[in-house]
Amino acid sequence: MTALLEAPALRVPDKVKADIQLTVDEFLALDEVDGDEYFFEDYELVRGIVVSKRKPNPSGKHGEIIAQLTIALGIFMSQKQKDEQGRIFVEAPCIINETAYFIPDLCFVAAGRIEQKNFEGVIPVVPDFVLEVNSPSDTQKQIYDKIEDYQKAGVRLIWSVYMLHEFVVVHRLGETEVETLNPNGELDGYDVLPGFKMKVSNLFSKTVKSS
Amino acid sequence: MTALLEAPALEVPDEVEADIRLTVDEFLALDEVDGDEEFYDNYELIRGKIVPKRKPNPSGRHSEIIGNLTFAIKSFVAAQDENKRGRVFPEGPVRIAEDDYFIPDLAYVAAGRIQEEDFEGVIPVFPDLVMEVNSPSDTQKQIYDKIEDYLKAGVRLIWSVYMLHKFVTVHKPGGGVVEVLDFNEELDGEEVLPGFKMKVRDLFK
Repeated sequence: MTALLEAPALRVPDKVKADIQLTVDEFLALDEVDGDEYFFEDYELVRGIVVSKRKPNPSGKHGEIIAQLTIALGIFMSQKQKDEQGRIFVEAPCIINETAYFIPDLCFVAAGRIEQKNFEGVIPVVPDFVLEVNSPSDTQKQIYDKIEDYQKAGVRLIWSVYMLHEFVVVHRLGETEVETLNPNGELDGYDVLPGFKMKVSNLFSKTVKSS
Repeated sequence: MTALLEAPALEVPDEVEADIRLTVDEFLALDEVDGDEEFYDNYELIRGKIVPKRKPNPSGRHSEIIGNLTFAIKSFVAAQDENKRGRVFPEGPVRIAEDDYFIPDLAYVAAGRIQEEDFEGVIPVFPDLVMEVNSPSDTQKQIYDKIEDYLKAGVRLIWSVYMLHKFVTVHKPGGGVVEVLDFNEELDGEEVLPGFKMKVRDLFK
């Protein structure tokens, strides 16, 4: 059991064994998950394996980075016409492929792609943009695989934040090489968030700045 | 036992328990290490813990990167005046702190700092330049801590290679921000290897 989960905080039903690979359908059908209402907010399915999204030592810094981008994106979006505003989701689950149920730290879906005003559970489309703040316990391989899966699903722009050394790696769909941004560099929304710019250092800032 | 080691490949004597933290002196005094002659080539001591340097799935690419940089630096050094030639060590062990015995993928020691022509075991001084090719199984924290320890020991320039996404972070003492070099940028030997340049893409040839 514990081999399956990276953090021991939550219980998982006995039928989920360490060596079992699930599809997203099987994962979402897990019966009641021992009454844990928050299970599907706290666990991801990564290449068929159940993995805790909550890391052993969650840090304030992690949450603060997500908040900084959310605020900046929110301000940016508020300046657009209503029908040009996309939708921003913080820690919302997405089905990325048959064996991947991910909870990106932040994601953005372009205007008009989601028909429903309200929906239950997962975001009904693959996001256009994803931010992942890599945790200290993430391995290179875990980071790499997740980005590969996002790109295969069609995510057009990914910002992968390395919070310990405070830099960002940018993954654009269709580009074979990644782009790296120093702490002094500037994030660019490219054609996914046209006109959006934000200094990398503002992600790590302790005060709020509007881009 | 297994909690102590990240990979089960080699045996460690029973006296080494999972919760014990060693100094480098204690680590180097481990009695014969069950007759494994290559133990000290294959294990590091990181903040007192024994960790295998050889990762579960060693890749050809990892050693190819080390090979490419070693060749470039060796060629560069060989072209210098004799009194300016530093020494290049691929996978030479170094004592970085009282509880750190690291085996950097490549280390460079500036000219004149090592008196001995030949020496046994660890490199007798801390290196001026270190390159580490991060393994797929390395966590962010492991990479960060090691760089911090190198900097504390006085290493002047560190190149940390991310081989899956093909970029390099550059670290120097002084607490400044890191520099990140993507595939199309260039490594610079700066004050440690003045004049040395190498394209990041050439590491991955």
